[in-house]
Amino acid sequence: MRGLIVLIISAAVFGSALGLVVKRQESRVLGTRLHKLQLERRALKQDWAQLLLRQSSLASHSRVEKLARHSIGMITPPSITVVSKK
Amino acid sequence: MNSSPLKYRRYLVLGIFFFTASTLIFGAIRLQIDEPVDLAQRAESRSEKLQEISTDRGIIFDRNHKLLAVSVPHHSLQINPSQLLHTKEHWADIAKVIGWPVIKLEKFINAKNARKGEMLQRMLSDQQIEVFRQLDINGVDLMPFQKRHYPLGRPVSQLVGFTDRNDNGQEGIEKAFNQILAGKTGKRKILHDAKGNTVKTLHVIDAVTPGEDLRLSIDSGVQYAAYRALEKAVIRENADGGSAVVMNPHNGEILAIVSYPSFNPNESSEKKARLYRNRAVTDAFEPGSTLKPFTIAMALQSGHFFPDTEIDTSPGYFDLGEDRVSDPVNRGLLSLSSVLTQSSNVGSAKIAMALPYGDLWDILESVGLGNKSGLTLGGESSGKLSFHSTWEPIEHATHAYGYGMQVTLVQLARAYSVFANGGWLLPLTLTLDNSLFGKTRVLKDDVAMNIREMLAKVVSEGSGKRAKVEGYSVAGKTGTVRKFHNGAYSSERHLALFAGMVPAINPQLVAVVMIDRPKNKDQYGGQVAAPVFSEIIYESTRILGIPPDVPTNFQPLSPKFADTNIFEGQKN
Repeated sequence: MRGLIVLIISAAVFGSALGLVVKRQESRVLGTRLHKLQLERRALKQDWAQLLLRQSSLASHSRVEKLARHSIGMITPPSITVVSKK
Repeated sequence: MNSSPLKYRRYLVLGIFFFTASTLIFGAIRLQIDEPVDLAQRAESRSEKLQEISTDRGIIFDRNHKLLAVSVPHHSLQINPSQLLHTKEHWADIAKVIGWPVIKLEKFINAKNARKGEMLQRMLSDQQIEVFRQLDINGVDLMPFQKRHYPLGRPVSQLVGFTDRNDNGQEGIEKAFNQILAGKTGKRKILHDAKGNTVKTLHVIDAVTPGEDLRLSIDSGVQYAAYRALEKAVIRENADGGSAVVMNPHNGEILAIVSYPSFNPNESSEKKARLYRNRAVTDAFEPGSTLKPFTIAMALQSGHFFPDTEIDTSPGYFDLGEDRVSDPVNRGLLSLSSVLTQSSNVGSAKIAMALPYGDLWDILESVGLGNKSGLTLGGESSGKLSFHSTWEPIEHATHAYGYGMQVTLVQLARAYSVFANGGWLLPLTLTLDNSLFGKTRVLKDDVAMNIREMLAKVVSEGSGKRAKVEGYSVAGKTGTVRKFHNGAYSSERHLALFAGMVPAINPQLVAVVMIDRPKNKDQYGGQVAAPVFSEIIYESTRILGIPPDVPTNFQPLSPKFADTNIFEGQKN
């Protein structure tokens, strides 16, 4: 009976030790993966930032106003001509 | 006891010993003989170190997700002259990519021949980076760095502020919200080899917190329109400067906050401290006549005065000890409403003096004057409102028409919002997060409405005619303030003010305009500041889609519109 208990406990200790090794390895792999994904997120965000910047310089108020007024001859409508749909 | 289990155990133990020992020996032999690697060296070169995990600064957007500030990665070109000195064959390539004559590069390298790192070009284009990556020359390094860009430039620069070289907020929103925008760099423990390559992550010590993006309550369209109108006016009026604030009186959100002159935050040469100031927030001034509506509101709130109560302002002045309160001309008998349309100092002072000192102080304090407005910007002035127990009789009188005290432009906008929203005082905000929303009733609804009606008259028949906006009813008050100069009120130096709201019946917008020291012949608020208000509101209502409330007499453009009522379907 005592032998059985010792055996069970030994098996449990051995199992837990193995488990620890496996989990530690897993955590390292996941940690590396997390870091990689964070780097990727950062790179994507930087790309996005660049695109935002390009978009905003193309759509800047002063550029749009200049193009509207001078290139295609638009005017600010006098309020009298503002018509709204039902 | 049986002998066979004992024997069995002995062999088992021996077997385990033998197996273990032979594994170790075998392993040792394999490492020493089979793998010709200098393990000692490898062990030495691998070591643990702490590595920083950096993060990027958050983006600042306006309320419609338009870009106000963003950090973008760039590369600068750094060379190692002492190394390049021996590889002359690469010089032509390098010079060609950066557009230098070879002779110039040669001089540069020779001059710095002892140096190991010299910046050759601060910012490389994408094509240049590509070429250098392909050339892959030893002694030529592409150094990454982050640069903050402010695509809207001048119109929004005092508000948004800027960062220093290390990406720390220095002014404006960048400074006030630095912690949120900056995030937090993380730390991890890594095992690396001699070349610095990460072998593996041992563990993360501090998780990285990326900088958060920030969305402001500002509408960049309104901001741009306000800046344009202000810039034009300051130049036209030959003034020292000016500022303007546009806000939503129902939730305290600032839609635009502009100052002129301004600076371009993308050009370091334009960064001069005197231009950084967000005048609408940092500069306090005497509000003059724009304060009179609060005196009238106090009178109505007291129950002793009514809109048609008459005040005798003859003979156009009165004396208090050595001081005199006066109007430019004798305006005679004035109703409360006419005290505003005619902007009578004598009338305002007499109304205030009919009531206790505390009444006037209470109303001024309750609409937020003398206190910060709730904005989280650094450098905000609280203005100046001294406690009524310290007032001399003349100060009681002057407070009634806006002298002897100081306000900022944002305080004035906030105070006028009380009239616009039916009597509530709200904290101002520059973000869309209204979780701290707390409003206090400071005026009765009908008092606020009475004041709006009177302010509408100021624009329709009084000094504020030039604040009119076609299609909208406008309520507001002009102010022409004498500046205090060399110990006395100057008759030549003025502030021109206009504070108002549209539509007068149910205001959706409050705007205030201040022009500092106009130098043309006309220097009155009604002539200088009111037209700026009109222009800002005209653009803003269009941008924000606020429907007109006053049908205008108009000639249809074409027969097609002859029987169309353009205002149909726009009533809320």
